[in-house]
Amino acid sequence: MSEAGERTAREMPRALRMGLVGFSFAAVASAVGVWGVGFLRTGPPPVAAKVVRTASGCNAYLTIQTVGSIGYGPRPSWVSYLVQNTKGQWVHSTIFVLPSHCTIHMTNYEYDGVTPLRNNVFGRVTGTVGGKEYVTGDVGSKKYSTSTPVSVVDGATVPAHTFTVPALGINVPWAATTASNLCAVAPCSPKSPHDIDKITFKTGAAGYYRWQCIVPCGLNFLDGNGGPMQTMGYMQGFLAVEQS
Amino acid sequence: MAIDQELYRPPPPVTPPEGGSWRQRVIPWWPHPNILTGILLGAGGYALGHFLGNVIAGNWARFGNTNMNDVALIIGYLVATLGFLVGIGALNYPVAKIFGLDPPLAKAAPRGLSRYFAYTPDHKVVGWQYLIGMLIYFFTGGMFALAIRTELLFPRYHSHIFNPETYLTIVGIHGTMMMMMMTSVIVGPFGNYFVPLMIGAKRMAYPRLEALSFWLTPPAYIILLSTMLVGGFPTGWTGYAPLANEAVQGMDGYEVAFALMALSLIITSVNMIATIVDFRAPGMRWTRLPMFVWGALTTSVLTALAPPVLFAGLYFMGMDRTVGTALFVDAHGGSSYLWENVFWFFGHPEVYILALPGFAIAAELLPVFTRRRLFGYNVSAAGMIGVCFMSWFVWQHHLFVSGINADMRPLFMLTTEVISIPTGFIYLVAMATLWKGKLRFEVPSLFVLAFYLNFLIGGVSGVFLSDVPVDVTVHGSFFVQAHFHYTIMGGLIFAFFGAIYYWIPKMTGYEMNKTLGWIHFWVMFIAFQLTFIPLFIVGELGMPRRYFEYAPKWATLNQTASAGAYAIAISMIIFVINLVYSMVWARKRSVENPWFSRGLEWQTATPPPPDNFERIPLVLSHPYDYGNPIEDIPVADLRGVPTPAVLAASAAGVSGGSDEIDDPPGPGAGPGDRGGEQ
Ligand SMILES: [Cu+2]
Ligand SMILES: [Cu+2]
Repeated sequence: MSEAGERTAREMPRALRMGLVGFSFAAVASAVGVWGVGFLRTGPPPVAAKVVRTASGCNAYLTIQTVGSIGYGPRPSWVSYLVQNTKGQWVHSTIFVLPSHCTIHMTNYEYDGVTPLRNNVFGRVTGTVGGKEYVTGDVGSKKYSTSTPVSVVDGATVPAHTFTVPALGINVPWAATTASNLCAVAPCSPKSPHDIDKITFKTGAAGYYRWQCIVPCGLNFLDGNGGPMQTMGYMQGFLAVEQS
Repeated sequence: MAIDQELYRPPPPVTPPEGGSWRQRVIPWWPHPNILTGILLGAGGYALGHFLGNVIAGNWARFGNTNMNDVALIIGYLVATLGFLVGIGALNYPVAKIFGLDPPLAKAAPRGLSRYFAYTPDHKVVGWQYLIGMLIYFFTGGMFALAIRTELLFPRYHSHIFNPETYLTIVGIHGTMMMMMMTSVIVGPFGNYFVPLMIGAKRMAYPRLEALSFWLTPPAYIILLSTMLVGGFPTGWTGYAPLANEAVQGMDGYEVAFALMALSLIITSVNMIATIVDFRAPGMRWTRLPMFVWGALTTSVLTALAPPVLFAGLYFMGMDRTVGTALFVDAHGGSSYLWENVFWFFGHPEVYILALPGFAIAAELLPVFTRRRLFGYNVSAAGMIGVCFMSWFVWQHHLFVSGINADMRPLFMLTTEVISIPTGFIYLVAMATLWKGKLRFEVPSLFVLAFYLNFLIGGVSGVFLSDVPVDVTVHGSFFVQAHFHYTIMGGLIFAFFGAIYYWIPKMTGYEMNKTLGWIHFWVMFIAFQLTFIPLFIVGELGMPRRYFEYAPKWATLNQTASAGAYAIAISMIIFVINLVYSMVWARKRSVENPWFSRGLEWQTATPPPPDNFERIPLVLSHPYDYGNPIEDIPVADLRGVPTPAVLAASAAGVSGGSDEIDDPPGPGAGPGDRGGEQ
C-alpha cells in the first residue's frame, strides 16, 4: 500500500519528467534530422557553359580539366574533373548545364597520365560532330603540336579517362600526356604537362543525361572501379540539358 | 519437497546502513554508469581506436591513394563499442567478479526514470528499452523510406533530390536499419518483457546478457548512420561482393553495425531459449505454452543459428577490405558466390525470424478477441517448428538468376514451395479460430486482422516468386520489393502495433486512447495498400529496385506509392501523439485485464511488480480455454506452490507433473542478482 501511495505522490513530477525527456529527445532528433537532410542533399553544384547565340544558331563553350589528384577537399587523392564557370573560375563539379538544341564546343585540359581501358571498344570516338576529337599533345608515342583529328585510339597507351554519355551515344577517350611530372593539385597551371582535347557535339531535347568515365581509374580500389568511379563530382556526372 | 519453502520465502528485510537512513544510500543517477557515461567513453574509444588503426595501417600501400584507412575506421568502431559498453557499466559485474569483489554500485542501482537509461538486469526495463529503441530504429528507417519515395516522386530531369550514390546509401541504410530492427522488434520488447510473465518466471535466465543484447543496438544504430559521413555504401542491405569490396569506407559501418546486431540477436536467443526451457512455472507444460512463447522459442532457435553465419560473412568481408584477404574476390581465388551463399544462408531464415513473431502475436491475440479456444493449438505449434526447420533449405531461391547450376533451381523451387505448407498450418489455424467466432473489434484485433490480410497477399506473391520462370522475369524488380514489404511491414509491423495496443495497458497501467488508435489503424492500413499495390504493378511492368530514375510512364503509379508513404508517416505521427497523450497527458487508469485474457501475464498486478509474481504461480490449465465449460477454472494459482501435500494432489489431478516442480531459479541466482531491480 505504501508503494502505491508513493507512486501517487510522485505522479505529476514523473509525468512532467517523462514529458521533458521526451521533448528534449524530440528536439535533438529533429535537429539531427534537419541537418541530415541538408547533409544528404549536398553535392557538386551545377555549372553552366558559356552560351553564344547568333543568327546562325546556338553555340556553347564548355571548358573542363581532368587532374590525377584533386589535392584538396575530403578526397584529396582522388582523380577528378573540374569545370570553368562563366566567370572563368575552376569549379570542382561534373554537373554541366547546357542549352538544348545547341552545338557544344568542349575543351578538356587533360593533366592526368595514361590509364589503360579494359575494353578497347571505348577507344573509339563516337557521337561527336564528325566522329572525331582534336588533340594537341601526346597520342601514345605520337606528338601533335597543332590540333589534330583523331577518331580511334589504342586503349592501352592513349586514354586518361573517357567522357561517355550513353543516352546521347557519346564516347570520347581523352588522350593523355605521357610525361611523368604530373600536376597533383587542382586547378593545374598550363605549365604542367597536359594534352588539350577538343570535341564538338550537339545537344538534342532537354533532359538529364548521365555521363561516366569508363576507364577503371579508381586507383587502389578493387578492379579500379571504386571510389571516384562511383562518386558524383569525380568520374561521373550529369549533362543538365535545359530548354532554350 | 522442502525446496519451495527455501526458495520462495520472502527476502529478509534490508536494514539501513549504520549512521544514516537508507534513503541516503540511494546514489543519484549521475555517478552511476548510464547512457551519457557510455557515450563519453564511446567517443573516447573511437578516437583511441582510430589512432591505433592509423598507427597499424597508416602507411599500408593499399590505402595509399584512397585517402581512407579502413583499418582505422573498423578498429575505431570496435573500440568505440567497447568503450560504450564499459561506460554504461556492462563490464562492472564480470570484472568485479573476476577479482572477487562486490559488483560496484550494485546495491544503489538507479531508480525511477534514470534506470531506463542504464544497464539494468530488470527484464521489464529492458523490454521498455527495446520498445523505445526499436521504435527509434523504425522511425529512422521510415525517414529514409520517405527520402526514397520523395526522390521517386518524379521520374527524371532536374527533379533529383539526391545524388545517385546518396540515393543508394539511403536505400542501403533504410534496408539495413529496418532489417536490423525487424529481427528484434517483437522478441526484443515483448519477448523480454512478457516471456517471463507468461511462463510464470521472475526474470530471464541471464539478466546481464539480456541487458547486453539491448545495449549493443544503440552503437549499431549510430555506426550504421555514421556511414553517411564517410561516403555511404552502394550495396543495399544485402552487401553483395564484389561491389562491397570496391566500395568506399561507408561499407565498414555496414559491416560493423550489422555484426553488432547479429551478436545482439545471438545473445537474445540464447537467453530466450534458456528461459523458456528452464524457467517455466510448475504446471506450465509444453502443451500449455502460450503461442507467443512458442513463437519466441522457434524464432530464437533461428536467431541462435542464422546470425552466426552472417557474422562470419561480415568478418570475411572485413578481412577482405582491411588486411587484404580475397575471400570474395574471384581474380585472387576467392568467390563472390561465397558471399551470396553465406548471406542468404542467414538471409532466408532471417525472413522467418521476421515472420514467426508476427504469427505468434496474431495467434496469441486471436483467441482473446474471438473468445474461442485456439483451433488446433498443436498444429500451430507444429507449424512453427516446421517453418523453423524448413527455412534452412530454401536460401538459393535468391540466387536463381545469379548463374548457379541450373539443376539446383527446381530443387530450391520445390523446397520453397514446401515451406508454404507449415506456414499454411499456422495461417489456417487462425482462420479456423476466426470461423464462427464472435470477434470483438478492438484496436489490437484490427491490427491482427490486417496482419492476416497483408500476409495473405505477401505470402501468395511469395509462392509466385518461388517459381523459377516468374522469378527470372521479376527478379530485382519492385515486384519483389512489394512482396517482402507486404510480409514484413504488412505482417510483422502490423502485428507489432497490435501488440503495443494490446500490452501497453499491462506495461503501464494506463489506457491507450481508443479513438486515436482507430484513426491510426485505418490511416495506416489504407495508406499501406496505397503504397505497395502500385509497387507490385510497376515491378510487374519491369521497374527495377535501387534506381533513382525510371521511365516517365510509371510516374503516376510511383506518385501514388509516394502519397501512400506520406500517409503512413501521418499514421505514425498519430500513433506517437496517441502514445504521448495517453501515457503522459491523459493517464487514464486501465482496468485490470481490459481484454479479459486468460494469459498468465494478465493475472498478476498491473503494472507488474518488480518480481512479477509474489510467488511462483502454479499453472492449472490451458491459456486458451475460452468458451469452454471449464473456463471457470483459473489459469493459475497465484498463491504459488502450496504445501507438498496439496501439490501432490493437484499434480495428480489437474496440473503439471512433479518433475517440473523443482524448477530452479537458474544458475547464478543469488541475493546480488536482483540488485538492479529493487
Ligand atoms: Cu576516369
Ligand atoms: Cu528467401
